[in-house]
Amino acid sequence: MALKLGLLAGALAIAGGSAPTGSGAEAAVALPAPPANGEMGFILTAFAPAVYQGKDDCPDGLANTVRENYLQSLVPTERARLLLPASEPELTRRWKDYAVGPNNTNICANPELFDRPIQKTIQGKIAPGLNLDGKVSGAGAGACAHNNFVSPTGERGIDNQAYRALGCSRNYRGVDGTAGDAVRGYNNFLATGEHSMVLLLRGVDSLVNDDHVEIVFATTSDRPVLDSKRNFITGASFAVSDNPRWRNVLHGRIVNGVLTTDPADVRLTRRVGHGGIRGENLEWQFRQGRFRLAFQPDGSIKGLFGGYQPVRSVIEMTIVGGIGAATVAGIDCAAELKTLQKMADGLRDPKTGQCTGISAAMDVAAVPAFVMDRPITAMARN
Amino acid sequence: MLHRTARTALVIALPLVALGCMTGHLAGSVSAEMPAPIAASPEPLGQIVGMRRLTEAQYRNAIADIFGPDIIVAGRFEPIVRPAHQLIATGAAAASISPAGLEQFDAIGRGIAAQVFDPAHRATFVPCTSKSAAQPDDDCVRATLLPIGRYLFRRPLTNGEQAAYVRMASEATTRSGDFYAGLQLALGAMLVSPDFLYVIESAEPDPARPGEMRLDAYSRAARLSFFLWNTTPNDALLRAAAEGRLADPAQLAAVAQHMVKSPRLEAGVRAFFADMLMFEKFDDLAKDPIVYPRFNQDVAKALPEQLLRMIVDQLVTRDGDYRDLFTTRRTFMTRALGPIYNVPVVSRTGWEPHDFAATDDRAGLLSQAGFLSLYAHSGRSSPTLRGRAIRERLLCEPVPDPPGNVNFAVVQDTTNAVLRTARARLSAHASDPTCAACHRITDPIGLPLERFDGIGAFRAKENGVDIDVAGKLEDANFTGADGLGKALAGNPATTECVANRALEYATGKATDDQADLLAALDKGFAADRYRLPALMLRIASLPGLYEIHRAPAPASPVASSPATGAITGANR
Amino acid sequence: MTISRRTALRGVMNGAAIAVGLPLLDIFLDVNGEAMAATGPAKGAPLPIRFGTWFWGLGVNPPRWFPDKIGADYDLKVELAPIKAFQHRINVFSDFSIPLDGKPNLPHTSGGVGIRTGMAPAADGGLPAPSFDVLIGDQIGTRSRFRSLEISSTGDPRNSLSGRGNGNLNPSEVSPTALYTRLFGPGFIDPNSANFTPDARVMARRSVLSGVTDQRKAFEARLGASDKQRLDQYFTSVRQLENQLDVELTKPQPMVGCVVPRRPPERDINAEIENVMTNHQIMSDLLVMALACDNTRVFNMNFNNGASSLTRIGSTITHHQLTHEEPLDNHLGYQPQVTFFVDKIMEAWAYFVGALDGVKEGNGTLLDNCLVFAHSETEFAKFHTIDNIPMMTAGSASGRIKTGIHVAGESTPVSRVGLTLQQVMGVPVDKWGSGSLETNKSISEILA
Repeated sequence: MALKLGLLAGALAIAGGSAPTGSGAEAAVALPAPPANGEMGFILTAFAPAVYQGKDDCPDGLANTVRENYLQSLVPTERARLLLPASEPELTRRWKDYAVGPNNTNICANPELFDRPIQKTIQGKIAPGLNLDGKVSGAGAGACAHNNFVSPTGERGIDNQAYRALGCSRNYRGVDGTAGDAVRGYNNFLATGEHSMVLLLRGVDSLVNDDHVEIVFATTSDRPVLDSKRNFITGASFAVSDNPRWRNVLHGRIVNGVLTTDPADVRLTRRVGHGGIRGENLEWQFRQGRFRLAFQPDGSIKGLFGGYQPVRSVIEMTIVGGIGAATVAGIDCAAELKTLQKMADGLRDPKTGQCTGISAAMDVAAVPAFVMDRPITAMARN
Repeated sequence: MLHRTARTALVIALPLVALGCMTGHLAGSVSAEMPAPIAASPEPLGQIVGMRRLTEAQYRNAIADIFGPDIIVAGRFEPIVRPAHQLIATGAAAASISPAGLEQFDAIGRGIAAQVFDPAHRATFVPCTSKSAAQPDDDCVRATLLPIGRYLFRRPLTNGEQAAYVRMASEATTRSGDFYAGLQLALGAMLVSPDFLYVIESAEPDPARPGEMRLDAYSRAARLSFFLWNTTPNDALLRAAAEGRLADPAQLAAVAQHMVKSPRLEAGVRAFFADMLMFEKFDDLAKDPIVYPRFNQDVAKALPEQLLRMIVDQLVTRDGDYRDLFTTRRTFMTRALGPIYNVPVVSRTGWEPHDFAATDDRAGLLSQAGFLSLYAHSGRSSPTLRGRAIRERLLCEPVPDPPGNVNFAVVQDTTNAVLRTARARLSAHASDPTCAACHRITDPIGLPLERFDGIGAFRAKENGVDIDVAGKLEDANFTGADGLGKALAGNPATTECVANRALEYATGKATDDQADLLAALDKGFAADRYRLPALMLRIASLPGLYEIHRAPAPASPVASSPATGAITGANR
Repeated sequence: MTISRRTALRGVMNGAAIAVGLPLLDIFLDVNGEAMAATGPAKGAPLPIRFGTWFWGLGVNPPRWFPDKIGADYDLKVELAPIKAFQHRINVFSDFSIPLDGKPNLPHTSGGVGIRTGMAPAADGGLPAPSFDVLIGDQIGTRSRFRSLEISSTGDPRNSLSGRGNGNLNPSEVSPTALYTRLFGPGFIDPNSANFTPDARVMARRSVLSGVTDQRKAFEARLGASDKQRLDQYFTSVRQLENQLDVELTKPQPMVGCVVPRRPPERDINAEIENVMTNHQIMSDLLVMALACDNTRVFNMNFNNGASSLTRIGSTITHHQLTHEEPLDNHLGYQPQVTFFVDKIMEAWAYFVGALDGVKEGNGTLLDNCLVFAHSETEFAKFHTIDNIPMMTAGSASGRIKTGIHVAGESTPVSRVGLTLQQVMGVPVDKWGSGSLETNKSISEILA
């Protein structure tokens, strides 16, 4: 299976500058022909929650830290007393105690054991994402009623409840309109190789219009090659994980330079340095997951991946941070979980009537690479 | 790289031949009884006609072969200076050891000695039990150091040397109260002795040419071993020397033939080409990270290895024609090099064969990224450097240095809006007739490689302009790397050059006065269909290789030439 | 009186442990006095070269700390300004990387451990390999009273990156008074006392080299003129080595800077920044005097721990908490409260360098005879980044390295620093580190 990326040779001459994901006519002019064998490989450089920095999204301020939640839980006189400078050591002791429970539990390692108020949610109308349930309002079968967003480009019916729940968090939002730390943190795992991901497109006849394309979306254990500025180098080789659980096959089409896929369940490893929960590695899990990606003139692709995540898994990386996430970074995981549960809009459990999944959207970007599918066949010799 | 215990340290399975190439050294020849006594070398030893300093690779190979590959050799080796237009092998014949260099050799040697006699290893190397752990035991010391000394000095120790080292060990033991400490110090002294650090070539009278000298048997053994295998003579070679078999040309040729057929020839071929192609320049290879972000240290490490693998594959594994080295499409890839060549690499680790397509315009040695990177600047390619390298390295035609007052501004300016390719800039730069004289020799050979940038990656255009890859070598006109490779393959200077270098490499002497011998070698090379192992065998078997000729007094005192008026052996 | 060096040494060595009561006479110096030239006015063994580390946790604000200019005369940004007085003796290192080879980035651990051991740890819990200060100590510290000294100014004995690995970690001294007792209480060795015991192993090596030299005549008899010159060079090199060993066998010159200090008062030991600054000063002063008195030649000073628990008086929020919780002010470009601590740390570093410079030694100061390696465990603490971790050296190791240079690593492995410093301090090593951190490329920009 000799992979030839003829696309690369021309594409590499142009560095930087990507076309917007919008208008198909412009994209059609700028895009080259796909390689002769119709296969295109990519290594993901970004896979993180898509964040929109709107002015009125969090009119009441950012979501409370643990300390702020503790203060909120007190009667006003007690609150005033503890806010006096002299009370600082006592306040610190108390709010940290507020984060722990009996038997060595704490709000981040065991968020379901603590009853915390819903945190401030996104109040704005605009958010990035995809229309997962096919509806502009109301709830479909197997779903729960919820408000829809409008996308930054005006598309209606956007389902992104996870963003609604967490978008006012400190680490999503940052301060003054720039992206928060969460995005940087998520993408760093791709760069280090802890949970790198690849895409292998097959059957691509045209980058502009093609009515069927197969996409393999998989984990790779091979580390990306980075240059000295920590940018991914194109043309590196990656093997799809030999764990079949983390090799997902999706089917889609290209219309006006934009690739979309049909809903499918997607699982990828989400290995992090902390060792996982109860000894198991974490996983990305998306039900009814799907892509919307636009081909760029420089050979890269970018867009969104949307789907329903099991509610708890949205904050799994923070949960793994345990007591440190709560008392050092001040994240109230129990409040976050409660908010996610309230906002959940998918994967309704027929017995309980509760939605166990929540709609989410990830920003995706990827650059060209050679991807070897499983099982690896020997290189053809001339 | 070998990773075996000391007991199984010597390499590879070979068919058992009279030479017995396997059981080479101490670590492999474990036996419970004391080894058979070795006759001492006679005193005085012969006239010294050459002293060739061990290269780092030779030093490491010798230690690994003698003591096993698990002995760590840690420290920095003083580099050997390469004389202009010659090989490091020739430089080694003139190399001295500075104080800083000796300090390092001393540290390295003490480190080796400490390991050899540490509790984990001493059972392998000490064939006896000392009478006391704290007292000297000259017999046991002698039994330990004689075999070691024979391998280290590449000949049996003289009686005087034996006595001296035994005394060293014994005094040290007395002082420290530790038998093994004494052995350590004595071995440390051997490892710093000129007899080890230099390959001493000594002479004896030549019965075939009365009044003249020839290399003695042990010197021949050393020459064969370092030339063909880049390591110290093993037991079988040393015994062949002791038994007089290396004095007879036919028997010597038979020995050489066995060595050429051995898998260990690969090490010799690698070392030869690393010398001929100036691989030490890879140590300094640095590229501008802004211009070439794909170049990192993994790439830098892989580039010379790729060159050596394809050379070995073509010349040894396939026993192919040397000229095909410039046209073959076969190379080897590792993961780090994938992005440079823009090809998929299946193996997660290690190397895999890769064949370029006919349309890739990659053929042979000159289109390997290692060659192309080495002869380029940190931020741009260089047709002149590449052309010069081809002339000097592969055609053995020296090119003069640029004069001191050259203005490089035009050729260096890659942002020039008018002169957008290197070809254009060079024609502007070399418009002066004095410049043109040299550039005419170099640039037409380097320009066909311009579709490969400063790190050897392919590019069709430079600054938006298509790259013209027309070139010329002597009377041949051609295009691209393909054309260049074929032109080189068709040029007689190419094969003459490698034969010339191989002779220089074997002897450690420039070949300026060897015209007749070279002519004969060229004929033989052709008759052998330009196979390199055959050439090496031919050279190794030349009786003339071992003859010492009186030459006129050398112009410079440090030029290494065959022994001159000192043949009488009188003290000077 | 014609006592040759050789006969005298043989006489000396025939006995057991010898204490030479007086400085060896001048006749034992080489005929060419220069071979034994010391750095100071007195003849005799040159002053010892010391090595140490100075560690701080939680990095810096990179745009406010790293110089823009590479090479000599680098620019001092606001966070590095405290070193101004010593800038020409301090090297700054940027853009060195720590490839993890798939191992996790353990927050506040992987960076410091990677720098000191050349290996990325696979899990929390101790060093995976010896730290290179220990390897240097094996080379230069075996004959001092203390092989090395480890100190922490924030009161945590586990605030240490020095050890042999596999469970061995050298704990840090945290109390100024306890440190004082340890250094200057009973057991203190006055370097200027009369007794000097030559190292028996050095004497043995010296004797062995004599044996090598004995072979000279036999060689010369066999040589032609051209090779004779090279043999001469070889034996000259042997002679140099003999001279070096002779120097080691000579009583060291007096350490004029050694003055036993007064006992410090009892102090609180905690992580409050002002208290830490004071404790750091006191313990630095004690350490400096221990070096000046040659009671140790290797040291590891830890200003704070990796996940810095420093606090400000009146507040319980820690430096570490702030790095994660305090929002990045994108107009300022940094987190203001975190930066308060960064400024204090750089002030403490400048103090430390100044304290070393305050002791006169030979023709210069103790700082000139030191090589101090300062480093953190992260570049920018909020994101736990471990590439481009800030690092510096202070002092020139008696002229073995150039100083005042900003070295750009160009994303090469940080183990090049550990390799180079080991080589400078005389450890025979040509390559160091594991996996992608294995390197044999020294940092030539600073080699003298």
